[in-house]
Amino acid sequence: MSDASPTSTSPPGAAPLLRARDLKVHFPIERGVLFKRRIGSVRAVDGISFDVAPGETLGLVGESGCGKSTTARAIIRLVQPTAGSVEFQGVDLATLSSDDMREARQDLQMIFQDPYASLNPRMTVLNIVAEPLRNFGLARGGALLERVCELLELVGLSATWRNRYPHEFSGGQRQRIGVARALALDPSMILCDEPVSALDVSVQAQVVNLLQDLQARLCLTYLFIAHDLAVVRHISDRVAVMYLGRIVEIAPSAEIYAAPRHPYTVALLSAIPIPDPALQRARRRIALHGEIPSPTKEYAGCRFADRCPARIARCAVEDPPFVEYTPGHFAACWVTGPDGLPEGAMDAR
Amino acid sequence: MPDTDSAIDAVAGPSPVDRAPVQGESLWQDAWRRLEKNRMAMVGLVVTIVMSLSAVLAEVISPFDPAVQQRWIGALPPWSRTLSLRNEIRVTKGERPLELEVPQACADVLGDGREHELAFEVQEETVSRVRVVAAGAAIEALHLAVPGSIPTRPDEIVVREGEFFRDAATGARFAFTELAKGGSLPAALGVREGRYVVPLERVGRDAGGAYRVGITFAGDGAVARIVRGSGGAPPDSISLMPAEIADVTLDGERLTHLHILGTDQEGRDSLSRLIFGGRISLLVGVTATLVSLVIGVLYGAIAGYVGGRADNVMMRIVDILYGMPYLFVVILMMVAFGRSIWILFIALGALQWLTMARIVRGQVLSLREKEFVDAAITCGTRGAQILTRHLIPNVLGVVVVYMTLTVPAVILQESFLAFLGLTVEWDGRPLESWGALVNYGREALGGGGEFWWLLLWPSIAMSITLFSLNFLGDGLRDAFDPQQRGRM
Ligand SMILES: Nc1ncnc2c1ncn2[C@@H]1O[C@H](COP(=O)(O)OP(=O)(O)OP(=O)(O)O)[C@@H](O)[C@H]1O
Ligand SMILES: [Mg+2]
Repeated sequence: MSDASPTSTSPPGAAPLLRARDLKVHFPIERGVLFKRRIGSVRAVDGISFDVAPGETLGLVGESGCGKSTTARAIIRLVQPTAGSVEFQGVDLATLSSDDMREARQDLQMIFQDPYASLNPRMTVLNIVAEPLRNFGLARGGALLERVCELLELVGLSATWRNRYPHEFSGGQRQRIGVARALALDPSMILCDEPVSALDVSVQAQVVNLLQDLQARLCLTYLFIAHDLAVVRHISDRVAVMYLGRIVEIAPSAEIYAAPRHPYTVALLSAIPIPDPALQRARRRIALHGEIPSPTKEYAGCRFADRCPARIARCAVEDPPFVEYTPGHFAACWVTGPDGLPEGAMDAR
Repeated sequence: MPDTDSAIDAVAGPSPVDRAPVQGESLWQDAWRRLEKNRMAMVGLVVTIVMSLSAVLAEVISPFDPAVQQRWIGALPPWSRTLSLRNEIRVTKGERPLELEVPQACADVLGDGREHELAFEVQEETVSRVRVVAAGAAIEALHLAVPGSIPTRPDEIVVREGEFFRDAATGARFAFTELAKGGSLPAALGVREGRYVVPLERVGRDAGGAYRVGITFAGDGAVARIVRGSGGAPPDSISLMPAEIADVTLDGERLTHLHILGTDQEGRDSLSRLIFGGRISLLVGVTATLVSLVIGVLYGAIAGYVGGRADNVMMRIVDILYGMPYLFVVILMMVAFGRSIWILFIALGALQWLTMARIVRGQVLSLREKEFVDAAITCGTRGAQILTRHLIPNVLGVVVVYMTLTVPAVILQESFLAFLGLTVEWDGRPLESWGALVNYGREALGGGGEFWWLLLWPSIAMSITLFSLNFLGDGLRDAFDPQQRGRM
């Protein structure tokens, strides 16, 4: 990891809006009734670095439990990072006091994974969307109402629904309410933590389109988290693939789909259904075997080695460095070479 | 971005604020709608409301004073009619002539050939008893006695000169001395208790045909007496007894009282006792629950919200208190601090809050992890407001459910204490809850079970109330249950 140089992951020709360096979040595992002993830790995020340029969308993809949410939550300081820095607009968020962080969040908002849990069921839509405005005293009375209505219409909800409660809405509509709340403070960046994973496939596209539309209108920057590559395909400018607390590959969107370099990325891509049934049948899906990865375990080598169809002896003992193969395309793998993965490397043994 | 703005306007149309909002349904309304559909819970709710109302309005709805002991109507079975002349007899101190009348209405009721007991409640705490022996259609004899108030020194009773009888029909007055002279009534009438014969011509009859005799004694020496009549014959004797009575009127308009649920051995009306007992039981239940609510919610919310070591220590304290033998504690407290009702409130409330604190802590702990709390932090909401705006409103549903289930639990605990004889007192008078009534009934039941109603009614009342509250609590839980609702 050490040779992942600070500037290496930024897209060409732009000063990053967000710059995460060697970010780590370890949760202690404790035992004991009154006096806790630390008996280990969950390395939910274990040293990741990436940049997000203004106006760009960085997709962050990985299977469940790999630390995507924790990454987003550490950036916005819902959890305290264990180590590393998160520079946002040139300020290191990781070291801000909680009051300063509160101010900083005006420009950095988040959309949550579960549209059912992310809205207080006892509050009306009006109060939910108005909450950030009230907190910072940005509007009151008629102006507040007007702003809330404007936000609701902006995310495609009728302002006449403002006195209804979250449970009266569908998942997609609820997610739109979450978007409206995130937009209320007029932020420059939004962390979207699997905003569509909990939604029906038919609704997913609508919400993704809405987010894209809003990005164009309001010059937003997104960190867009998803657990499969299909979802981030349309919206992302670049995609980072995460595995067990690490980023294993990061590349411009088109490239990662066309020429993946990390075996894990290849496996993820093989799981995307292809609309053409003939092609779908012809293609071989790479099934991952091996032990279910554990974030509590310490790894000497590559974390993916246990399950990797392409692994070589070195993988289990030495951590692969994050290497830039083509401009902006990084991967951490011992097997992959300048021309990508060797032919047949992914064939199951 | 001018074109973007116009695009938004096109979507929004003319100012969205002006369009009337659709009124949403809050989770409270939603829960109520669910509750309404739950028949058992609604029955429970109605019964609970009725019970609460009867507890609040006990003075208004209870037919009798539950505390007044009238042994002569003791242990009457349910649906007994008693001939209480309470309210009909007015006795006041004074020097006016004593008039006692046997009303026709009284004769009508009493003339059924059985022996009746009439209760006379006399003011100034003097209680009299009338024994009516009615052999035929008419009254044969009335004994009006003043138990326990016969003076030990009968010579204190002095008959004044010049006092008189009054003939109710004619209005004529007879001087007492005159009466004594004319008949066999001794001149020293006032000196002793006894039976005296009144000459027939000296007894008046009123328009209704009732017999009237009037006797006046001086000072505190007072009278009760017998008017004897038989088959339309005028009374032939009076019995004189000293008491603190100077004036007795008996108008006989309301003579019968229905004791729907019977009376206890002290002659107290069972229904009235039940109503007032319910007041005590519910009061204890509700108050102790409120005590537990305040302590439990605060304690639990703080433990859950602060978390970490503070939470740990706070919950260990709860665990330790949980392990204490509560009954022992309550008994100790009542022995140490007296049988005040406040001690009971505090003792029972102080026990119940433990569970409340655990529940609230658990809720807050899980709510704290909910994404809407993260969202609130993200949009700049501060700690105190997170607690008041986001956590507490979401805990309230569970709290309401648990409260509804705590009230019956406390009622049961208090009954248990009362059953053990640990009744509380107020102003030196015992407050008899349903538990105390059950205990009384159990004692009265004895071996034969002849006074079964004394045990049955409080048991039924308590069971119905406990069932109702539990049904209501279960109904509320279902109504608030997110699982059942399938969303959230
Ligand atoms: N507060 C916490 N305490 C302890 N462990 C945690 C905590 N939050 C997350 N973890 C652990 O960290 C790991 C990463 O969790 P995270 O929620 O970031 O995964 P994710 O990639 O977002 O998964 P998903 O797709 O299911 O949302 C998991 O193993 C999780 O159990
Ligand atoms: Mg997640």
